[in-house]
Parts: sequence; structure tokens; C-alpha cells
Amino acid sequence: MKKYNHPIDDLFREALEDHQIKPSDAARAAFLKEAGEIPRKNNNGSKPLILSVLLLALLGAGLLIWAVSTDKFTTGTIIKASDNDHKVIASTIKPDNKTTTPQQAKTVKSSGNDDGQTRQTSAQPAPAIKHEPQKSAPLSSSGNQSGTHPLKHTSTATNPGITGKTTLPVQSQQVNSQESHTPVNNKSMPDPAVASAPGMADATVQPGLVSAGTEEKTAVAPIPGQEPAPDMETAVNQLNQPDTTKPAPKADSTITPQAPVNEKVKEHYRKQHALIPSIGIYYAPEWMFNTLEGSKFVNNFGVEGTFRFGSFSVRTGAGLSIAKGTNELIVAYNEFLGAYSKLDSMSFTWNNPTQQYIPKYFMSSQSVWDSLMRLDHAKVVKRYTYLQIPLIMGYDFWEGERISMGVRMGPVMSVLLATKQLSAEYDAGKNRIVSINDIAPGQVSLNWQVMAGLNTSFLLTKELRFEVEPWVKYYFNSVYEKPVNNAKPWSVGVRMAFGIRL
Amino acid sequence: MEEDLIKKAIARDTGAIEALYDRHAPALLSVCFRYCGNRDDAEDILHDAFIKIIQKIDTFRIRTEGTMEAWMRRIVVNTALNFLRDRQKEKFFVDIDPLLEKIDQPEEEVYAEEIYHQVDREKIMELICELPAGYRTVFNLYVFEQYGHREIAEALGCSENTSKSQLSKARALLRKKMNLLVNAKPLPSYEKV
Repeated sequence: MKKYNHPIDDLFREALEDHQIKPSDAARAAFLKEAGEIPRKNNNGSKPLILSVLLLALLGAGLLIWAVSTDKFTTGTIIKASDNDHKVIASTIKPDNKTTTPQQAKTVKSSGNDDGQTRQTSAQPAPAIKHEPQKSAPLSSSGNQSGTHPLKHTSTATNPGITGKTTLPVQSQQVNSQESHTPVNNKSMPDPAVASAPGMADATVQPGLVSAGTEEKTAVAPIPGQEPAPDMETAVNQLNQPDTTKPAPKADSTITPQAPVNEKVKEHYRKQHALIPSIGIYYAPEWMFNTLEGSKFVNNFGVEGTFRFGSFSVRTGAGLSIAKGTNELIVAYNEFLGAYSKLDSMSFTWNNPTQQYIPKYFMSSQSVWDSLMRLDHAKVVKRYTYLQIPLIMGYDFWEGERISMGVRMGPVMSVLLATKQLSAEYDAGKNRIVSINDIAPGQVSLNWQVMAGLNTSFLLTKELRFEVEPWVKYYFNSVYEKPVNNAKPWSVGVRMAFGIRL
Repeated sequence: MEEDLIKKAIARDTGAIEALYDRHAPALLSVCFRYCGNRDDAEDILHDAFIKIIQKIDTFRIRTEGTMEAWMRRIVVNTALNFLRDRQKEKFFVDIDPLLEKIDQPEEEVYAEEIYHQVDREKIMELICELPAGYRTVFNLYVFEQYGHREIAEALGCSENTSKSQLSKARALLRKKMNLLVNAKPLPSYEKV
């Protein structure tokens, strides 16, 4: 339909078409200042969201890999011993622990040579040291060429803990080597841990007292209450050359099994250095402030994974945050005034007896609305479901037997998953709705928060843990697309969680 | 030239943004002024609109979107409408006089246009600014933005009849004021009752 242009319209249009008003200098300066801070818009609106999720996923994967690799480091150093083949596998122990590393692994071979001297030879640095039984002559102090010295090879020791395929953690070896080390020289013989001598074949060697690469040293572990054989004594004396700087430890002190102490130290070491993963579920009621509704209640729940490293911890997971929001609508309507019956048509039938036409009316009901537009406010309740991905760092400042307390802090990312209208649609009755405008802004699809909390953890069983964590959360950006004021929302809540140590 | 400015503005070049502002702001401020009726609000609207323009300038395509000024003007008008809607959401429209709903008919009277043309354009702007918000908005959209009544109804969330009525009233009021301004003899009534 062609627009009708009134003469007044043309007059005003012509008069003001190229009208200009120069902006004030203050307005210009204000704009230029703000314009300089406008960041370049991303072409893809969902790019930051995808990047954030990817970043968190990568971080989680990295933590997991790190956890697994660290776990291997702490417990994966093992010694395999078999009857015919002895290997030191991946003994990556630090030098200051006075234990054997592949580079430092040195064996002392003694052969029954003519001069009767015990020779000490250093093996080449290798990750695994193989001992071939036919080549490893028994240690002799008397130059016995028959090579039938009663000192037996470690592999033949009757300790059930080391015969056959036995694996022992090197941690225990480290501890033992520190506690019962009798040096042969400065470079070799880290641990005279196991004695295998005549009469000692049946001796029970404590697990954890076996040292890798020491089988040919045929170390000096006399059994308490049993006198060592004379030849063994000699061998021991030769092997354990007295250190002039240090007094040689007494035999008793070197052989006394320190199993309880070892376990304790081991446990302590593991506690301090092992990365302990755990999974759990949580529920956290939250009271949120500085929203359009004033304050509102939010339910949070989900699954989480925690990695503990000594007193430190990292927690992440995925949860749902469910909140109700009220949207205000302005409804423009025409009021219903009433209805009348409209005559659509009528027909006449001739009535012969009365000689009259009888009319028949065809009516329809017609509603009448006021032409005045009225406005009405209506509220609609909606439910917003967010996916929450936290990355919370923690430090336990106090640890008791069953209770520990600590602080937790970190960012939380929320992504809007779904919106559902809970209340019924606006009922206008018989009024005629002209328009419905949503004047309350919608909620943002991505939101960042930072939370800080005080965590109290109760160890219910050895594996099961219950945590209570009151926290405060600050929202970096408003939850609404169009912020109503400058104040950012914040919230308080309590997280309750059950976790199982893996 | 304009294309270069746009490219530089996309790269957030301060000089280009400044040049765009200096080039287009006076005309756009006039548009804002027509919608809100006072300079302070007009500058606020212009500020918000120009921020949006810079934020969305990478979406502007000269071939498809028409001239830069038309594109900017559309953003300014939308910003102004949002501003008015937020500010006067409950009392936006003046009540409709049913008798005036049928007056939007072609005029047969001849007006002394030559007299009206004597009126200064600043005075004309003042007359528009003195109109009630509803009249002013509908008049602006219809006369300057060339909207139809259906489009106005959609933009303002009202009925087409309301738009027609507001426009008629606006015209009547403007003519009355113009007559007073030029001190001309009152012309025959515009409205046919």
C-alpha cells in the first residue's frame, strides 16, 4: 500500500533532512575514551565458550596424566628377583638417598682367585643388571678355587620374600640402606641387607631388607642369637672394610629389622609425595544476592574429582546449578467491553394458515473491545539450568587423625544448558492482546565466578570422606544479559560432599 | 575512503574511529534529538549507539547494507526507541480519542506552505521536541524513517490504529503550533469529525 504523505510531513522532512547538531566536546571525549577500550569482537560467539571448555578439559587431562605418572614414580620402582635371572628394574632413585641408580649400580664380584683377594669390579652403567649364575663366583676370603664358598648367592636365599619372582618396592630399600648400611667402599655396596651364608639359608629376611644389586655382595646380616661362621666372618670383614671416618656399626644394629619404622616412614613418604585421587558427589545450596529478584535460592549438585598431594589438593568436576528466575512482561491489550448479536441474514417463510411471512434470523455473536490500549504487568517464572565446571585449589592447614581443615579457592565456569518456563502463560481472559514485551533481561549463557571456602573434612572410614565447606562466591559478570545495575551478584553457600579415595 | 575508515575502525584504529565520529555524529545527534527531545538524552543515546556501531562495525557490508550512514541511522533509531521504551514504558502513548482515529484521510485543503517555509529549521526541531513522546515517536518513524503503520505498530508494540491516531494528533498539533509561530491566520481545521 502506498504511503500517504501529508504536506506537513514533506515540510518537516525537507526542513530537517540534513539537519545537524554538533556534539559537545565532553560527549565526544567520553565516546572516544570508551571506544578505545572496546575489544575486537570475535566472529564466533561460541568461540570463548568452546575454548574455555577445551582449556578445562585439557587441564583435567593433564592433571590426570600427571597423577598417573607421579603415582608410577612413587611406587613403580621395583626389583624383580628370580632364581636364574635378577634384574634391577627402573631403579630411579636419587643419589642422596644412598641407593642404587642405574648409573650408580655397581656390583662387587668376587672370584676365588689365586691370591685369595676379593676383587671389586664395577659393572657398566645399565638400566638392568643381569647376573648369570655361572659367572658369579661365590665370594671367598680364602682364595678357594673350588668356588664352593658357603656364602650363597642372594638368589638362592631361602627368604620367601625374594625367591622366585619377587617384587619389592625400592622405597623400602632406600630406607633400609639408610638405616643399615655398611659400606664396602665409597662407590659400591650400598646395602648389605641380606645375608646368605651357611646356616643362614633358613634365616628369615624381613621384606624390605633386600637390596638390589647386592646379591653378589652376599651381605652381612647375621641372625640375632646365631654366631656367624668363621669364614663368613672373614668375608664380612673383607667386604665391610672399616670406614676410618665412621665407626662401623654393630652387627646387631645393622641387622635389626626396622619394619614398623619402615612402614611408618614409607607411609609418611607416600602421604607427602603421592598424588591421591578421589571421586565424590556433592550438593550445595546457595543463596544469591544482587539479582533482579533481590536474593534467590540456587541448588547445585554434581560429581567431582579431587587430587590430593600432601596438604594440597585440586578439585574439578561437573555439576548442575538450578535456579528459578522471574521474568517481567508488559502486556498491551484492548479491554473486552462485551458482545452483541449481529444479524448475518434473515429469511422469510410463508405461513399459509395465518397468511403471514414468518422471519427467520441468522445471528452471530460479535465481541467488542475497547480501542484504548491498556498495559498490564505480568510475571513468568522460569527455571535456568547451568552446567558448572569448577577448578578449585585447596590447602589443608590442619590435619588431625580423622578431621582436617583447609581453605579452598578457585574459578567456576557456568554454562547455560536449558531454560524452562514453569508458570502458565499470561491469561488475558477475554481481552485482546496487542503485544507482549519481555522487559526483564534474559540470563547470560556463560558466566564466571570465583569461590573461596573453608573446608572441613571428616574421614568416616579409611576410604570414605565427608566434607562440609561453607563458601562465598563472587560473580565476575552479571547473570543477566543486560545488567540492571553495576553491582555484581555474589552468593553464599554450603557444599556437602562424599568422596571415595581411589 | 569510507571503506578504509571502516577497515581501520574494525582494527580499532583510534584515528579512524574519531574520523567516523566526527563525520557522522552531527547528523545522528540530530536524529537522537528528534526522538528524545532534549540534548542531554540525545547525547546519551548517541554515545550508546556509537559504541554499538563500533562493536558491530565488522558486520557492516557496504554492498548489502547500503550506505554507512543509513546503517548507522538504523542503529541510532533502534537505540533511541529502546531508550524511550525503557524510560516511558508505562506512559508512552497518549490515550486515543476514538473520534480522531478516522481522520487520517487525504486533505483537500490547501495550506499556506510558503508561509511555513519561512519558519527556521531550528524552530521546526523545537516543535517536534515539544510533542508528547508517543506523538513524536510515531511522527519521526513515519515521516523521517518512512515506516508504515504496521512497522510502527511492531516496533512500538502497539496497534496500527494507535499509530495512525498518534500520527494524526501529531500533525494537528504541529500545524497548530506552526500557525502560532508564523502568526498566520488559523487555517481551517485539519480534522474532519
